[in-house]
Amino acid sequence: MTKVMDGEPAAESAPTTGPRGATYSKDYWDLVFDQLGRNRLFKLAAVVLTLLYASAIYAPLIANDRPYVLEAANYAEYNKAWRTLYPASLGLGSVAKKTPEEYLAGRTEGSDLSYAQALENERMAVETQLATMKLYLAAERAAALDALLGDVEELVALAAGTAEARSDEDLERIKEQHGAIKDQAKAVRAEYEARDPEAEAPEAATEPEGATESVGLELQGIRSYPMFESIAAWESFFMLLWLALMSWPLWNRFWNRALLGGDRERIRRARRQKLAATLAFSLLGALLWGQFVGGSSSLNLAPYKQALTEGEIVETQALFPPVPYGFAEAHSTELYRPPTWTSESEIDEEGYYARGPRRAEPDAVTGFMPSANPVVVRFGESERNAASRHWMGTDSSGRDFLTRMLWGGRISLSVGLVSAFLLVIIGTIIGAVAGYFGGWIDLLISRFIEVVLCLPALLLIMMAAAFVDPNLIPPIFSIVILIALIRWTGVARLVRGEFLRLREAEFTLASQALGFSSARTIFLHILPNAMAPVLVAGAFAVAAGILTESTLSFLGLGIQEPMPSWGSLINDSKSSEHWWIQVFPGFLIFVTITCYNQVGDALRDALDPKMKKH
Amino acid sequence: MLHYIIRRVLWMIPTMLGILLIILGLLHAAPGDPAMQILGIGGGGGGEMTQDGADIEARLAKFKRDNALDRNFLVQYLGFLGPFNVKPDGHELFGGDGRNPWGGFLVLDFGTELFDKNKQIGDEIRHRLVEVTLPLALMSTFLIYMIAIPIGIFSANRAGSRLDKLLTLLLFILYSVPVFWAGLMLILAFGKGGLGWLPVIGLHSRGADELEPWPYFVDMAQHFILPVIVTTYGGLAYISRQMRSGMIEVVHQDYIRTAKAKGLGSRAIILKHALRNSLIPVITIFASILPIMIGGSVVIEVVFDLPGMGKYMYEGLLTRDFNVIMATMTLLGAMTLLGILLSDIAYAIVDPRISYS
Repeated sequence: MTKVMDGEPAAESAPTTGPRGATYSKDYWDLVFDQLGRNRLFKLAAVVLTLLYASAIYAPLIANDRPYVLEAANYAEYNKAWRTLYPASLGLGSVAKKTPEEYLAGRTEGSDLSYAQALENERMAVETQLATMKLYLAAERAAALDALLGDVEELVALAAGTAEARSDEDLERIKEQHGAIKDQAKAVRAEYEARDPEAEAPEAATEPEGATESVGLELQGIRSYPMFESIAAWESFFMLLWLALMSWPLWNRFWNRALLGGDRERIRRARRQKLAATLAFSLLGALLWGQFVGGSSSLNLAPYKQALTEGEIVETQALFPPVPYGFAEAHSTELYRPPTWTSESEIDEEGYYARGPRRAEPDAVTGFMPSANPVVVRFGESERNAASRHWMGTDSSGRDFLTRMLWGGRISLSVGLVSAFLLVIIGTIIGAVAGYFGGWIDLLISRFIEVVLCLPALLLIMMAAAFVDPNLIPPIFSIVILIALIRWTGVARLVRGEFLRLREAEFTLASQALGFSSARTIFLHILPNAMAPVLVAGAFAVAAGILTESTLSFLGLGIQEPMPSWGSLINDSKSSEHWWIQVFPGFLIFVTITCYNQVGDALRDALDPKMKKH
Repeated sequence: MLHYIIRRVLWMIPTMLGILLIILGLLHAAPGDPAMQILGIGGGGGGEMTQDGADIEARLAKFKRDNALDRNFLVQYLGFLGPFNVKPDGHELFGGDGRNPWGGFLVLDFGTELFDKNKQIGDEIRHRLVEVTLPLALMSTFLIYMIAIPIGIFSANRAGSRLDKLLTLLLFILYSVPVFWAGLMLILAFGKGGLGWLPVIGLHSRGADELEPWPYFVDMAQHFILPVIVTTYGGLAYISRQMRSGMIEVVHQDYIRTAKAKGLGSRAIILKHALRNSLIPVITIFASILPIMIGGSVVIEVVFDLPGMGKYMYEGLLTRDFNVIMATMTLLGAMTLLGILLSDIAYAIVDPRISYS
């Protein structure tokens, strides 16, 4: 981020490129970025912020209960299909042997299926079972099933073809065909039984395949990518965008040197192209992602993870993210568990805390021992007392706190950014109107701003937030909107001041003399020259927005369960026994605010022309 | 001068009206029926309304009528402003029965709490302000100035040195610490879970009423230490930065160079010549700091469970008590206005270069 624009790399190369480099003079933005590049604290803050945003954007890749890759065989599903195959073939036969008249007479009450439809249904039943079984079987085994399916289709064609007028001969052929199908189904039933997943599961990995063959079939796993499927197109947009931004120093250097030959003029002109290229790259990638991969996961997680844990589904390969928990995944046996690397977090097999303040002791008088719940370790999770089980403890519902924090960063950071963006827009427009037109409009707006400034913004936002119906507008939106609606006054005052100064400037007069419209003069000529202080105010506004959201959520007036935000996470417990709940998210808020304030400070120094050190 | 003050005071009237308008307007503009929010019914739960829907409707209507929430916006505005009471027992002019004709902020009547009609909001606020919030704010302000001014002078004298940079950075970081988090961390560090040095909750220990005056005072002082620290550090960082930059600006003035040229010691220059002039902007902030502190007291009083005005407002917000919120917010607005006025007047008195016209 620090070298976001083409600051240093080309500056280093400038002397080597000969006469061009020598004649080059720095423009305003060159100076600004030079200045920023020299500010070590700014660089640090920018790097920290980049990483924080990365952690929020890539949260699904870091903390998720969906594995990246899962290759697993669903024994329960296979066994069901395997058991149902024979009865299904019998059912098909019983329909096929009847004539349509017999069928209509004998069909169940309330059924309105025609003969052809019933036949088709029976065929589908057999085909579904066969297809399910084929999913998990090796190709050479599928041949027998294919043959069976072929016979079934033949039988159906035969029965349907002779439905109108069926001779005895036809019936004989049907019976014969059905007899063959029955035999085949019986054979499949005898040979294709899967091994018992629960009994064999522990050995499956070590035993050679021949050994398990005798007990039953070893099923082949199906490979899927549950996490990537769950990532929506908009998420992939931000992921790609951030990837491009983080790798900017690399490809920017290449672009400048190889494509632009280190020519300062061309580099300067290429700024917009680079920005456009970054956006286009992310947008295109996101579109492709949405089209071909993501946002379509229909996997229901809770039963699936349970089935994996219980061995109904047996995995041959599973790769989990570093933190294998979902952001709303509760562990009811681990409420308020301290970070697992601390000694106070140790839990024995029965579920009792071994030491620390939570250590269970029998009641002094009655000798009654409080009951305990043994820790449940689900599939893909760390061991009971492994340090990596819950790096940052769990909350009141036993949800992994690190996961909550990573996902909460998405809300906290975006609330700050979006609210700042909105309030800068509102403030700029109102301030521009007031400053440009002056007169009674200015008087009215200035008075209004004065009045709003008399009220503590935080309390005003709190008050309004308490009375917004969360059923009508989700709190995350209402907070953003309220912050923008109440905090725009600062930016408006700044912009107004700039406009009062700039509307007397020669370029404004020139624009007016040329007969340009007010809107054109304001937005195309004055505004670009007034944006520097607004940029600074914007950086501070992000910090203020994050602080406001977290304070509000901490007081219980902001983001509501089960949505996590850093402020609402702290609200989970105010007891000093649960220190991890207060320390970690608060620290993140603090770091973010410090960084944004630092960025604002550095921007102010760099953008102020009086401060230029040359 | 007098002219200036009078004009400023007169300007306060429309501003105050505007403040009231904004508060009430915001409450009304918030999506969702305030009465429903107050009664805890909520707008979305359509399914629950069927069984005793009529009952809820009736309750809602009665509640709205009793608290004049069914009147139009202007009448409600007038009701809060005064001097007329627009509730059913209010002035005949607004359809009341005349038992209780006057009310509203103009006659300093803040009404009663919505859910406890025996509790006068005005009394409650006065108690809480005098006993908790004001002492807290005053103590912090005093501390802020006592610490920030020396730091600012020290920093400005060594501007550019490594120590100055470090100090500036530290204050900068301190300035960015969220207030509620600072409070929680102090509680963790000094409360029972940590060092166990200080009481962290409430204003008194249990059973403090039976103590002698002196131990009682010590007990209360101990309870005040952490809240005062939390109220102080942010302002401290801000004021010392102001002080530093003000001082640096003054030091570059011609008259300081003159003082140096005539051979005065640096101590005398700083204390006699530079300090007085650089204090002006910092001192005039004083009046406007107080309302900010009282506004910020909400978070601190919630964290430390102090029965102050901020806590009162917070409780009002949780129970959606319209009257409490209106009263506390308006009072805060009035205090801020007064603070700005005082600081402007102070500035005008101290700095003769300011013109009053």
